[in-house]
Amino acid sequence: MRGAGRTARPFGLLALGLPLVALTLVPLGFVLVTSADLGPAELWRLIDRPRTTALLSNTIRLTVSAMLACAVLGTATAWVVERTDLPGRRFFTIMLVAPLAVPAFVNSYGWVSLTTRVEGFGGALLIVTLSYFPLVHLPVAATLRGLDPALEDTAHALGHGRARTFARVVLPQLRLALLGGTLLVGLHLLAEFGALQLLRFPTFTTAIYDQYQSTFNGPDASALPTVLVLGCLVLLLADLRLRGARRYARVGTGAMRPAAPARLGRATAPVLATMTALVALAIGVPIGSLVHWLVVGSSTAFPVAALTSTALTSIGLGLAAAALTSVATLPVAWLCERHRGPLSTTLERSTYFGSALPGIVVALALVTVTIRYAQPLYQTTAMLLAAYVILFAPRALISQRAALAQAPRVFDDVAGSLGAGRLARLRRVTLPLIAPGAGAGAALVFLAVVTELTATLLLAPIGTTTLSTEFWNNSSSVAYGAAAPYAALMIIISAPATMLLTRQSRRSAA
Amino acid sequence: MTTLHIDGVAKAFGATGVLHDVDLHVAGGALTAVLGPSGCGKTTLLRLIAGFLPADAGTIALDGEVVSAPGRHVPAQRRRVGYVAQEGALFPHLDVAGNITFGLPRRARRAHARVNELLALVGLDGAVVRRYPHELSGGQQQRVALARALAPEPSMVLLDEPFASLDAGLRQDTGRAVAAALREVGATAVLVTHDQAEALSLAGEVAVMREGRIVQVDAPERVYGRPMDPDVAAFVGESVVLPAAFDGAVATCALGTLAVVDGAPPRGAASVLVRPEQIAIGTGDGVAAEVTEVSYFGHDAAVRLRLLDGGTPVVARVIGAGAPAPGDRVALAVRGSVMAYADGSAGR
Repeated sequence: MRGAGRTARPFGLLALGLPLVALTLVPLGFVLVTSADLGPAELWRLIDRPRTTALLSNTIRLTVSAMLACAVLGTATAWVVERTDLPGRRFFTIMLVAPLAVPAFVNSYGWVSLTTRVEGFGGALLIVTLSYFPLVHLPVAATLRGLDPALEDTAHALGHGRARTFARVVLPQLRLALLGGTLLVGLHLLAEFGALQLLRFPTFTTAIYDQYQSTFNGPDASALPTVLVLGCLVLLLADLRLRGARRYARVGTGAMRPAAPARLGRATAPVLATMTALVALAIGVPIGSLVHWLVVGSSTAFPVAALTSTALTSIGLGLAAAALTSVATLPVAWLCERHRGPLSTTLERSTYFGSALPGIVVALALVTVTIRYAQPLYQTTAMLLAAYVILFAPRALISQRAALAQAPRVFDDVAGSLGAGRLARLRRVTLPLIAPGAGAGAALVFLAVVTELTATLLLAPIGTTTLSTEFWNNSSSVAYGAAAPYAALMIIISAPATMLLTRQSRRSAA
Repeated sequence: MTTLHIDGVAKAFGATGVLHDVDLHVAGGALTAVLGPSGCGKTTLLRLIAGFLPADAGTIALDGEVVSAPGRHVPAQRRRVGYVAQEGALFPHLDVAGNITFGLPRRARRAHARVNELLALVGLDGAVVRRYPHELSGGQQQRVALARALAPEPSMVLLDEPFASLDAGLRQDTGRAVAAALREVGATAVLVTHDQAEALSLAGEVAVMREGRIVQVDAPERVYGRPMDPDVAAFVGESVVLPAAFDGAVATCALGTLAVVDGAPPRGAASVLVRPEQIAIGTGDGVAAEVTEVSYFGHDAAVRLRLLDGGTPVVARVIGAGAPAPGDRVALAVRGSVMAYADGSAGR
């Protein structure tokens, strides 16, 4: 019965949380309304064409292959760094998440500016896998770290060898982390624009962009996003089901014995060589290529004034979006943690819909909605910030929820019994407790905004250039040298936030 | 010194009644333990007294001032009630001094008023002042939590299973230190616990709670020695309940003819309660029995026996050094008088 009290409905919080929910549902609403306007017959006519079929085949082939490749690579690398005696594991631990600091389109630029042989399916698969496998590696490594080795000991005692123990004891427990990470890779791939455009590998997302550039708002502009959104929804629903099944256990009492690492023995050299090669491909190539263009590129120029103003624009947009998103998500996070129930769960889940949709769909939705219903807002910074809130709200929300979970209501009660009123409790207890977590969430939003390309390309007001759009304009016109300084700045600005992300996911092990 | 009067208090969560018509009066300066199994509603009662929850019915008065009644709910921050939560609930972002002075006015917080005095009161060394909660042991955390609750000189202190998360040895020491600190400042206190040893050893009065009702309020030795019914008896200690025939002030049961407490069995009495330590194991005269199992604890031992006549199982507590072995034939005798109960008085 404990804590079942205080059933009063928090109308104030609901009112504060609703704007965010309404905003994040705009893109989905846009797709639903436009496809309903077309009608199923017309929609099918637009989809059932050779070009669409080719795009569908490309998208599915790439998404499924990359999901599989990332699942295998992410699990293998997680096991190697967490559970073996490989020399240099600390180095690899950092290097295997470092690709997250390099946006996929920069990675793609690094490769394609060295050799055009990576154009096409094979190259695309290689590059997106190298960019996205950390999304599987991170949660699987965290789970492996949180796994009680006593379970494996028990399996060994019951006569299972290492391989059978892994398959029958470890793998089932990695299931949630593995599937969750893999689904996240899928969502990223459906949304991926820059990397694939540079590799001239057409998918739904790149086709939508091209169409938008040539004929805005043709009927095709509705049909393609509908199919893309359907794909995203399939992945998203699978992910939500997983989340529902997940149990967030509090940290138990007593220290868990660390697992005894597996001895690689004669396999040490080949494993070490493979891991080194992986890091060289995933980090060495893009960074090396970037340095190469910075140093020797004939089109490299350092227009200091332009670089500075672009960087300041990116930082300004990132800070504004981080602050705005944090303020918008806090009421929802509070509802979820302090007033649990089907209503607050629904509100929270609905904010995921916006972020699971590709940036291109979110941008199209906002462009269409503003042109039709709010013309003055078209091409304003406000719309760009709204897109960032839609795309990145869950990053802030998840961190805030975790922080609030660490500040249970009993602290409120104790402070009340010591004479602190409602506001004093918020100021002296709750806010100081959640500040680090909420700050981490804001940093994650900042990181995402600084490296965002697709929505920024479509929504940035005329005259507003960011690091990513400036990089894009140069690299897509093959001015690789001119693009390099912008990419370097992007990585330098976003690297600290990436490290934060790594540390956070490591702490939330299992 | 503050008194607490609870009259006819009820509380339900949705359709589930948690407290029914609870009465409890606590004298000023007394430490009263509310003892009950988990889920009996004792924590809810504590939260009502603290003001974290509003009551559905009844009144709660602190020192004669009604703080909770139909239509009246004084919020926690204006009740001046100290609260010590399970596991302490020290604010993790504040050090020991910051925690202890939390409830004091701003100027006193700056001056670290009373910190050392309070630390000494709860038996802690001044060296912990700058430590953060995660750098303290469980027992230290509980002592700091008590110091924090006592700092604003509350009218009374509520303790919610404060020792449940400590291990056995620490539990006793911390419990004694907390009880001593409360006595020293003369605070009125209510301690909620499911641990009968803790309640009996620390409190001046024990209120036994069952299914949302208070079934008995008495001094510890009366709760143990004169329990209301066999259920209370079994909850506060081991018990042997035997059917008996009554004749005036004596009862005849499988363990022989025994004197009834106060010489007056209740109407319709049909069973007697014997505490295991009342059963003496000898070799001479007495009820013949065979030892079936011995659990040896060091200081004492629990001896399980089967009476030779009829096979009734009983359990006796003897000092560890004199424990018999399984299979021994022994003679049993009951020391002192026994409680008598009418049929159906258990588990109302």
